[in-house]
Amino acid sequence: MNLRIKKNANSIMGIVLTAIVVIPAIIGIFWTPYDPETINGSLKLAGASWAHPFGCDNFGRDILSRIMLGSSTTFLIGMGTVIGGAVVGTLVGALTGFYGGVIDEVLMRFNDVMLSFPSLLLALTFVAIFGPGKYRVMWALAIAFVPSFARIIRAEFKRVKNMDYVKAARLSGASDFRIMYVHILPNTVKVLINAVLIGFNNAVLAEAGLSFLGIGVQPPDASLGRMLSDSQTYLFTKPSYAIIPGMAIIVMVLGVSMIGKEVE
Amino acid sequence: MSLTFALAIALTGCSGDKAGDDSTITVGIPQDLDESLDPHNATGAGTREVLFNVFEGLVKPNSDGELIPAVASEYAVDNEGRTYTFTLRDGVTFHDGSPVTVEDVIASVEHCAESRSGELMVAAFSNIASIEATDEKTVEIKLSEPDTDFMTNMTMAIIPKSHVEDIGTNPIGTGPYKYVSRSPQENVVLEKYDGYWGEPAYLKNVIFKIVANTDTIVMNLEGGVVDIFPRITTAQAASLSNEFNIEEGTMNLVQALYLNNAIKPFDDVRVRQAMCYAINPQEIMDFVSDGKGTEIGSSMFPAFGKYFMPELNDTYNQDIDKAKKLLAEAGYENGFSFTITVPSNYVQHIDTAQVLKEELKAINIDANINLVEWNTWLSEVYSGRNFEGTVIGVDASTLSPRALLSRFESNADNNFINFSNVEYDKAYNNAISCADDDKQTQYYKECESILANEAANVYIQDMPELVAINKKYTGYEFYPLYAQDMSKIRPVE
Amino acid sequence: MSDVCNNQTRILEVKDLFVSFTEEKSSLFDKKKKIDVLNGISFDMYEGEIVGLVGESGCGKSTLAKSILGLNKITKGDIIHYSQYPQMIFQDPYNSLNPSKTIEFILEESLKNLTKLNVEERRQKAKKRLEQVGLDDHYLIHKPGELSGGQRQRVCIANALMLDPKLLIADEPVSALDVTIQAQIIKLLAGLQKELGLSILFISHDLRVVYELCDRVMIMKDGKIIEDGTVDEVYRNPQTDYTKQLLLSAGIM
Repeated sequence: MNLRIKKNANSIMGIVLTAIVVIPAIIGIFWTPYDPETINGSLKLAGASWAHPFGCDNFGRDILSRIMLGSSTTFLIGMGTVIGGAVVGTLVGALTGFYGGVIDEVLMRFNDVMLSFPSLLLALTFVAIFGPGKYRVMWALAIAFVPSFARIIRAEFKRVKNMDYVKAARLSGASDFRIMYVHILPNTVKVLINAVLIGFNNAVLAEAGLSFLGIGVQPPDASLGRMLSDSQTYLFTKPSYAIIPGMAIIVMVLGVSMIGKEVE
Repeated sequence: MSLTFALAIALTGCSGDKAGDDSTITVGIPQDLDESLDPHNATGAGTREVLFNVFEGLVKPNSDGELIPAVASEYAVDNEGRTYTFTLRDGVTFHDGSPVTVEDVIASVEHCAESRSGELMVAAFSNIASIEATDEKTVEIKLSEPDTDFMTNMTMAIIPKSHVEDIGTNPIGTGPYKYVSRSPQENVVLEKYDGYWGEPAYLKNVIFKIVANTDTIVMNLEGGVVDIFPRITTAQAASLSNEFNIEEGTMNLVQALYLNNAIKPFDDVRVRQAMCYAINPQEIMDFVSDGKGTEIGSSMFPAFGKYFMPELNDTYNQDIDKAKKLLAEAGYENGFSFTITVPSNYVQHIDTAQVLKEELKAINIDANINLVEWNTWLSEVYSGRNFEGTVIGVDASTLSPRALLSRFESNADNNFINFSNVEYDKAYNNAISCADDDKQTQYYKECESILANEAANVYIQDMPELVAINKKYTGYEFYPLYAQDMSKIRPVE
Repeated sequence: MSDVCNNQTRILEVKDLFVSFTEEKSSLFDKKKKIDVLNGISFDMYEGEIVGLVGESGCGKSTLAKSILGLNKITKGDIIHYSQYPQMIFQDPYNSLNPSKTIEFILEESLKNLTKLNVEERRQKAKKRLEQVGLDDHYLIHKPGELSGGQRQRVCIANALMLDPKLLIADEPVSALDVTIQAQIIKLLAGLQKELGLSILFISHDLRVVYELCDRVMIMKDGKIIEDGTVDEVYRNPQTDYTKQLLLSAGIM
């Protein structure tokens, strides 16, 4: 009983934390208090005020507006990355896990090679190929995330494929595709959701990392990582400039991982 | 001249005593030196600025950008600019104690001619017809073609003939400091050379410490690990305590929005002029460097003294209506969009691009910013000329105005903006073949005016260089070339 | 050969069956290891017959069952079916029902794949089969997780009967269940066999259950059938020491 309340509290906390970042981010897609790109010399590095609750950055841009837009950019990149990575990864994992054999050997050895690089490094390579920019970063990260999804889904398919109910389905005349799609896939959902949530967090951190290195989202576009990168020179003179996007990343990642724990 | 010299020695003698014998200063530098310390092969500006203390040429630059005699005590040029005669100074010795001879000078010139990369240098050295010692104190260099700029190349280091082969690992020069040791990625240690012919250095030991992560520089300074750090950012400078002085100089480069003149719409002078009218250099400096920096209006910066034309700053003063009118005349009343490619390792250029983007919005020009790695920038933008616009700072490799202006000649290999103007080519060629200094200066100025009037680039500023220096020390001097002159630094009493 | 012999209709013929597995390689360059599981098995089954297949665990009983139904690759030999859609009842009812589907979905799966029955006809058939195994039709909307072990095994039996098969292979169908439930399931199987005229290959290691249920018994050891005869013959007069030992340890002899 106690445990249940505790668990519930955990997931409520997770939802609340996620909402704190995601709701302003969704609003930020359509509306921000100020134009997040308009520069204003008189507001350069202005402190917090009623008009600008989080103050202004080194170009006099409203930090709240940029956080709203930046969170939505980061959130969308995170979502796009995990969805792309999960769809392709599931496809690869399903085929290799189900059929096994030479294709499995070849693809999985390739996968192992990819996995032996940190996904950030991999994404870095793809960014070098595609060039930087909001959507290209998403593609780069999605490709970099395919191997980890493929591995998880492959293991699940291998496990579930040997279940007696899959054999029963075969005796019921189900085709390979039907067995994979109707009988196996729904039983990997739990693991998949978990992987997606963890992947989302990694994608958010990877976006931040890439943009921090200056090769992710391009200025003057805002993303949480981009803002962190912009603010590093002002770490000592105006720490709140760096702390606010940093907090937004922490809260988003923490919230999502708390929800993830619940799913588990 | 000789009077001031004597006075300087007297002053030194006095404070030299006070410094004591084990005085040590640590200078922070952002990256390690080149692997080879061969001064004739030092491509990295970071290497050159350290080696400035170890090596000297027949002449050397002072902090005003003028050439003063160094290893040579006197020199003469014939009227044509074809024959150069140098007389070696008495009593100049290498750090190993051996005296500098004419053989050393000839060996140095020959080694440098073989090693040099960089177009201006190659051209200058391949122009040497003969070099010979007329007596044991005199060297005569004859050129195939007259070159009034040749002297600027004679700042090249004089090295001992016996060490030509191993100069990269055993850098022996004639400068005020001698090389002691280096630890890769850690530091380079220099020690005062007691046999120096000129004004001796004040401090006994100098350590150049590599601080790769410049974000930690404030902590390194405050913690006393580093005493001097050149090129600190305005934000970092603002967060330093009052134990430090901030010396302000200029970086000696031409920061501009460089436009590819060969492609649409930048092939139309009215478009380029419109962009010049749309922007406000002072606003950019306010955002990027707290208002510090020097406005420029052409490819020349103030360190070049008489060649710099401050009046060109007013060729275009921000005027949105005029800009819109020019755009409309060129057929772009609704504006256009283009991409500014910026190397991702230069925060100032990225920030500049962001302000430019906002300023250009006023005349409906939509600029996208594309950050690329430095190597990509070099190959795509600089060598490949595959770009629309870029924000970068262009510096001078020698103390000649030619170093800045030669690239805009129509056929120059490094004319990465594809500037092509018959008038300009004529003025430039007049300048380089002119032996009369006043006339030559006029021609160079004509070049600068053409660049400004044709709006070859959207000129912005010579960026500020801030040096943080512990209040215990004084005497820091800025040079128009890359140099950290440690021999002038002295303790405050 | 004709499919009629001794006035009985033949329903399954297994001829000289060999099955071997290759062990999963731990790396790409490992040599494959071959393990022989079935070493030349031949037998026939006839309509309406319940045949017990007895042997110690690891002797190849389950492999034989799966091979007959085409769930394993066979190395050599022939398996000839004289009936359509032979089905299997698995040992572990916790593993043989898809946890993410409803009972209705599970039961109707084979009808969807292999018949042209419409939604209503399918539901009627599913209800009928549930009834036959002694379950209410409200179980249709449940998922396997909400059912007890015995109920699950009844669903499995109902599922096996959906396509009206003539041949059922029951692989230790009661060994995972409580003793009291075991008896109920055995009784259910016996009843269904009579009602529907099924042939059942009943795999078990429990000689007592086989004695109660089966007409004929085959004793298996090391991938071979070492004895094959009516229950009475084999139990009264075992021909091999191995069978004698099995009977002794079961307390029958």
